[in-house]
Amino acid sequence: MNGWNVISEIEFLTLQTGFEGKPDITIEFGNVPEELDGAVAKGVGFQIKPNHYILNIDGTGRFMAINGNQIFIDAVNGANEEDIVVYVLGSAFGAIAHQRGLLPMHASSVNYKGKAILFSGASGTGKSTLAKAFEMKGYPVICDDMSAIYFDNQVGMVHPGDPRLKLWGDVLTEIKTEDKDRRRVRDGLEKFFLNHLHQIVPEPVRPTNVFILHKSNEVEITIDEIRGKEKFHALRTNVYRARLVNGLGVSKASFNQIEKLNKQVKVYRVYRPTTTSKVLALANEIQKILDN
Amino acid sequence: MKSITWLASYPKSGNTWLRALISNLISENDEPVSINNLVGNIDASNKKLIEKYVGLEVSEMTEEELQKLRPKVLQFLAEENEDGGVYVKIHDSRLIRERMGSLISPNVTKNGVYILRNPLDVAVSFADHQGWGIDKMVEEMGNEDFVLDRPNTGFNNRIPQHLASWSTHVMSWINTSDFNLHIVKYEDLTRNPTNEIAKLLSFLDLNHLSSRTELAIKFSSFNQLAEQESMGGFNIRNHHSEKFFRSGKSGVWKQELTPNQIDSVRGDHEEVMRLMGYW
Repeated sequence: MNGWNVISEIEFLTLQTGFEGKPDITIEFGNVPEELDGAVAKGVGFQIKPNHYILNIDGTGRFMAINGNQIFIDAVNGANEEDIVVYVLGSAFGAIAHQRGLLPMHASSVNYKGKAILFSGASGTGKSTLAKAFEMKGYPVICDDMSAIYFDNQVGMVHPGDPRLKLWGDVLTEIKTEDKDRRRVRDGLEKFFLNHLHQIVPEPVRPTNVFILHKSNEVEITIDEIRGKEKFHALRTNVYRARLVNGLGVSKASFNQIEKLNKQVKVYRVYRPTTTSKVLALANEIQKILDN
Repeated sequence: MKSITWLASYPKSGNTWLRALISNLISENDEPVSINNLVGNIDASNKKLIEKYVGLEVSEMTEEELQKLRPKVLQFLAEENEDGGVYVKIHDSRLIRERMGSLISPNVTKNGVYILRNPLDVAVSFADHQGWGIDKMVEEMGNEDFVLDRPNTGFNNRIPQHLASWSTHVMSWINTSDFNLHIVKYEDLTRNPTNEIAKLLSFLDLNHLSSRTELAIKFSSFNQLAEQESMGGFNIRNHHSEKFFRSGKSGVWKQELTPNQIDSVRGDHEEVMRLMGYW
């Protein structure tokens, strides 16, 4: 998972099991304090300081990620495993990625002819949907929702993450997927986990293109390459859980990594219609750009 | 803490027009404020607001979790704007106060403006906005359990808002007693904008802006708003609808509603329509 070996007290059906050697991250149930001593930043429900992150979700539980290697879960009575997994795989892993000095991008990614293509953007803009559309064309998914980038000798590489895509019910209807094996992400949410059609990408892949998705009310799809300050800003805005960066004390490292990524990738701004009906058309447009 | 000025209404009742007027009154520029950059752009139902203050993905949160977060987010927002105050647009009815705790709480509220419009005209405009037939719209406007933006199958960038029926919505707001509320009727604003703006400015304690009145009316005119939409789009238009700014006229219901639909609206809302002078 993102290149990490994980030992967990909760079961993640998503992870590849079995590894040798020491774990990088342990996940266990335990007490999570209500107040974080010496917190440098607080939002609604979260508190942070360097190497520490606490998330409090009323009705579900408290989560703490520390030192890039431990996650504690303090679940409320009655919270089910799906509820917990959502916050561990999301915010807690995001915080861990920041603490470990990676650059986690808020993006789903696919392996397109040996290159990592990132689909980034705010919630509900269609990151997973586009990854799915590429998967249907035969290009394997690398990560869903968070693509963690490691820099090794100046070169950023995306490490394979959660091998399932999460898609909304209306998208599944639209793309007429044949996946039978779907599982609801959470009770009461019309969003489903899908297993990969293709084998899991085993090796890190070098990112070359980032598509930043926006929904628009217009009927037409527009895709424009962006450059300069705007390009840097767009990458920075789409860092996963960007609000955590300052509080965790990693803003300088993060800034440097964004600069490196900035040199390595082309960035495009995509405006797509709100309706789900043009998803496949959009994937074709993007593929044309990639083949150009 | 008490820094929020609510810009409240049932949907399609002139909230955007009100926001455009206030924006252009406050603005110091000689050109119209962009429709995508009006005061009250902060919408109490927008998930981005939650994302901003909670710092996590909203798309995998349950409606219950989101609803519980809303009052806390508004509290943060109110604290952040303690000095300058902040306009927040809202479509929820105040009934939500009982159901959800304290969404529209006097603790975060400076005051509020409620704009209302003849429900017969609302039905026409709201149906178009939703992409629904008018019959369905009329029925929902009488539905005490009507919730806006609750998708069955996909992602919606808004948190579901408890509107209740049009009558209940109006009564829940105009009976506000825990903070000062100014009530504006869409039809009065159409008929005599100068007068209505004077009252509004006085309520908001912004009398010094009265010299901007004529300019603000011009910059917020229906044609101006519609032109801006046609040039650059408007980010809160529903994709089911061709245009957000449709006609802006009062009384279109006379041409657009069937006698049955008119009877339904009147049957459902007679008491409040009489009370508000729509009879």
